[in-house]
Amino acid sequence: MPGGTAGDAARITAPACPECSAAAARASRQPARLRAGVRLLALAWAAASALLACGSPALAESNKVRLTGLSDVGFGTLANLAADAVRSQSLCLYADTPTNGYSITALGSGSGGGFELNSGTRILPFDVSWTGVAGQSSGTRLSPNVPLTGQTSTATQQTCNNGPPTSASLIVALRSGALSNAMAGTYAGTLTLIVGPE
Amino acid sequence: MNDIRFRHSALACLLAAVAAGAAPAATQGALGTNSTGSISIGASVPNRVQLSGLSDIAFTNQDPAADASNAQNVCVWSNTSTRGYNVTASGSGAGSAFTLANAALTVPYTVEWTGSSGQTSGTLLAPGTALAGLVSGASNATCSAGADESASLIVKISSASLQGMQAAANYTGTLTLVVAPE
Amino acid sequence: MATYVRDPSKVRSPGGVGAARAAIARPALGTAAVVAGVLLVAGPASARPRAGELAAHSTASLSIAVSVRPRFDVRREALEADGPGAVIVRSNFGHRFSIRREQDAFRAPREGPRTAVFIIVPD
Repeated sequence: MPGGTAGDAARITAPACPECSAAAARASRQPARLRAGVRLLALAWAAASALLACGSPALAESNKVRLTGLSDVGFGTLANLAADAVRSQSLCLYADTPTNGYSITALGSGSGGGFELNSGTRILPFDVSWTGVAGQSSGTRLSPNVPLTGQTSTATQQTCNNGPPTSASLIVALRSGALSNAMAGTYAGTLTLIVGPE
Repeated sequence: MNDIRFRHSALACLLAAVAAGAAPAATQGALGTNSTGSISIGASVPNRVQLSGLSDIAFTNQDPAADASNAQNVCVWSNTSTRGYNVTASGSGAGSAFTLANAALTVPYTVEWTGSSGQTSGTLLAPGTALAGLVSGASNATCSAGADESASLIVKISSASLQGMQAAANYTGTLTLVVAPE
Repeated sequence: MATYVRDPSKVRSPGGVGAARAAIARPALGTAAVVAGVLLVAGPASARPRAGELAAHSTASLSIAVSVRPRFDVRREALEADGPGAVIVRSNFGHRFSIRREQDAFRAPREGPRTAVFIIVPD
């Protein structure tokens, strides 16, 4: 709140503007022209704050990231256990950093974050690959809980609603060696992906 | 009107999602200094078996005074919870008979099977009839883990049958084995 | 029933002077006689391994081949008590064979039992 008498001080309602509060306090003891200038400064500050709250990247890098567009992976019943089974998906990886850079870390639901599907006590391992290019069926192999750094995003909006609709590929594979030696049954697990800015 | 159109388009979107197999369990990341998302992964492995390690058999210039016998270790893999399987044998003779032939000349042979390796005798098989209730001890599909072969196949020709053969004539045939999971 | 006999002492003789007793021909070294030798061990000649696929049913095949060496058996049957007998020669080779008499056998003493040796060979 500005200082001075209630009758003379300009009532300024700009949110969280320390400079505005100090200026208003001084303006309450100044001529009307100066008080108008302070009012204009407060309005400008309010507008800028509103723009920042809307998250527009055009204004500044926020060093924030966002991962969207993920879909569950269902391999179904695998008729041919002698061949690899690969599922890839394109998704939106947005990185609001000076270089649009990011790192990605994957964790499975196996022991120690291992990439494992389970059927009771039986384990079926899988592997995970990533690439910063959409529409790919192969990429850089990830290790559980080991960040893959040096990635760059082409997304221009946090949910890819404009610009490229997708900006990365996630590839999950069940290898024939594991499949051909797996016991019959239904296997399930989860994969968690953590993205950090660079 | 707008409300109705919205509901119709929402229903269409839901149906399309179901048809595409998109599952609602995936969680998307939020905008932040770190963003975390997760997906579920599922797969089903059906019952499967594999028979391997068979070798051709040749009884060359056999002395008819003695029975001829060939025993070989083979690999049978079954991925069922019991690792169970059955085996069916068929010969190339008439009606799948276990016979070898040289033109019109034929000689019979017998086939035996046992669910453990290193054996020289086993259960007699009948052509086209499954021998069930077998269990594989193989730890992988190719029995590559050391001495992992899991069954014995024994083919025999009796001395009496050999004595009925014409000398210096080659009698040949094919034995086919089919393994199924149990 | 035909048998493969190698020991002449196992052949029954009807006896009597002049009765010829057929001894089992033994292949002599260096003669073109019946094939003989070490009994072949019946063993596998693995041409190649056979494997079925990892599938709901796994099928594999193997070939089997057999051949037997030429053999014959000789046995004697008495046609009459204390009388002449017949020598039965049976072979498993589908062509002719010859019988020849070994001349040295008749160097035996004039008195006493005599032995006639016949060599049987495939043609």
